[in-house]
Amino acid sequence: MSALTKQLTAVRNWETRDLLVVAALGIIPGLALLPAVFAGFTIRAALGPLGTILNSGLFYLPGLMALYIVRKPGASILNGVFVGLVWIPLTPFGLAVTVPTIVARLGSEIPFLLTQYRRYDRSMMLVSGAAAGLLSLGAIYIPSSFQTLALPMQAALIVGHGLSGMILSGLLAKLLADKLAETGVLSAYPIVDDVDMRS
Amino acid sequence: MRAKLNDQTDEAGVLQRLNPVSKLLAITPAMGVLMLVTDPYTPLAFVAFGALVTIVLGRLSPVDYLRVAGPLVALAASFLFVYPFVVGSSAGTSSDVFASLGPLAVRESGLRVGVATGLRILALSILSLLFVLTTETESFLRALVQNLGLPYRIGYSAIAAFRFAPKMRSDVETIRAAHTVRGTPDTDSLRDRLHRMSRYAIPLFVNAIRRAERTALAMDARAFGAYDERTHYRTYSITSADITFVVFFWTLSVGIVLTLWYLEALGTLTILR
Repeated sequence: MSALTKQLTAVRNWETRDLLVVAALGIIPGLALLPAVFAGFTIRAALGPLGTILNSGLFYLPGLMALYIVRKPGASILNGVFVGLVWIPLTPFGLAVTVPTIVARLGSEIPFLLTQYRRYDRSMMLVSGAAAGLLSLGAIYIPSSFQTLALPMQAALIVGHGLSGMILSGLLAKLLADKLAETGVLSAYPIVDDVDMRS
Repeated sequence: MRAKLNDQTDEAGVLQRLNPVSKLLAITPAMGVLMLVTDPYTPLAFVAFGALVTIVLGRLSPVDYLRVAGPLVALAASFLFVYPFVVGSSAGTSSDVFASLGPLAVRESGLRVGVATGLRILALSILSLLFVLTTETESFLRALVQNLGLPYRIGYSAIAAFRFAPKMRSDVETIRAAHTVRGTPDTDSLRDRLHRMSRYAIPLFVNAIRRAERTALAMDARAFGAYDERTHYRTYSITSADITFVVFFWTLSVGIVLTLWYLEALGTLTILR
C-alpha cells in the first residue's frame, strides 16, 4: 500500500512518456470538446437541467481512457488537470466547468482505488464511469439550484448522470482504447495484455 | 548578464500586464460567494462590476466585449424561460410536484429561481471573462509553475501538448484527403459530420499518441525532469501592481456584498438553507 500512496502523490514516478500521453489525451479532447462546452451550456439552457445529462458523460471520457491506457493511479485526475488547464483560459465558464470535471475524475478513480488498481475490465470501466457521473452531478447540484427542482426531475437527473457516465464515458472509453491498442500504437503500455493483437 | 525577459510588461492594458495568478486569485472569492447566493441583486452587481473592471483596466473596446458577452446574456436569459416550468415543490410553489409541468403554470417563486440562477451563471461567466480575455494560455501555465508551485513537469508537459493542437488541424486535413481519395463522399450534412467524427477519432488519437511519445523522447534526451531545480527563460513574479489589484478587487467585492447586506437585498445563502 505504501508504494501505492507514494505513486499517488509523486509525479516523480511518472515517466515523461506517460505524462505526455496523458497530457495529449487531455488537451486534444479538451480542445475538441470546447464546442461541446459551449453547446452544453446552450443545450442546458434549452432543455433545462436535464440537458446536462447528454454532454456530461463525454467530459470524463478522456480521463477514463488515460487511466485505462496508462494504468497508473491518478492518471484520470492528472488528465482532468490538463483538461482544466485548457478550459480555464479558453472558456468564459472556465473554473465553473473545471471544478466539476476534476471532481468527476476523483469519482472515476474511486472504484479502481478500491480494487487497488489491479482490475481493468469492462465492469470496472462501467462502475468507474457511473461514479464519475454521480460525483460530478454532486459538484454542480447546489450552484445550479437543482435542489429546488421537482422530485421526479431530480431522480431523472441522478439516474441519467449515472447512465451517461457508464455508457458515454465508461463503455466508450474502453471501446476507443481497445481500438487504439489494435492499431499497435499502444504496444508499450500494459493495455496490450487485454487486447488480441493477432487480428 | 542578459536583461530579464518579462511578459508582464509588453501589453496595453493593466490587466494584461498583471500576473495571471493574481487575476485568478482576485476573482476566486467573488466566484465562491456567487456560487452560494440565491438573490438576483448580488449577481447583478457583480456583472456590472466585473464588466466595468474588464473593459476599463483591460483597455478593451466595449463593442468587442459585448460581442463576447452578448451570447452569455442570451444564455442567462434562457434560464428565465426554462426554470419556472421545472422548479418543484421544494421551492414552495405548491405541494403537487407535477403542478409546475402542467399547462403554463408560471409561478412567482419559479421565476425568481430562474432569474437568480441565470444571473448567477452570467456573473460567474463575466468574472471568468476578466481572466480569459486578458490572459494567454502559455503565460498562465508558466505563472502557475513559477508562482503557485505547480510541478514543472506537469506545466511543461501541458505547454508541449498545447503545441499539438495546430498540428491536429493538419492531421484532420490529411485524414480527410486520404478518405476522399478512397472515394468516401465529402459532404457536409449533419449525419455525415457525425459519421466522419467517428471515422476520424482513431487516426487522430493514434497521431496524438505517437507525437506525444516522440516529444517525450526528445524531452528525455534533453534531461527534462532530471533535476528538482528549474530555471526559467521568462520569469513571472508577484509585483506591487499585482498586490494592489488583488486588494482593490477584494475590497470592492467585500464592499458590494456588505452594501447589499446593509440594504437587506442579500438573500439567504444556499448552504445555510
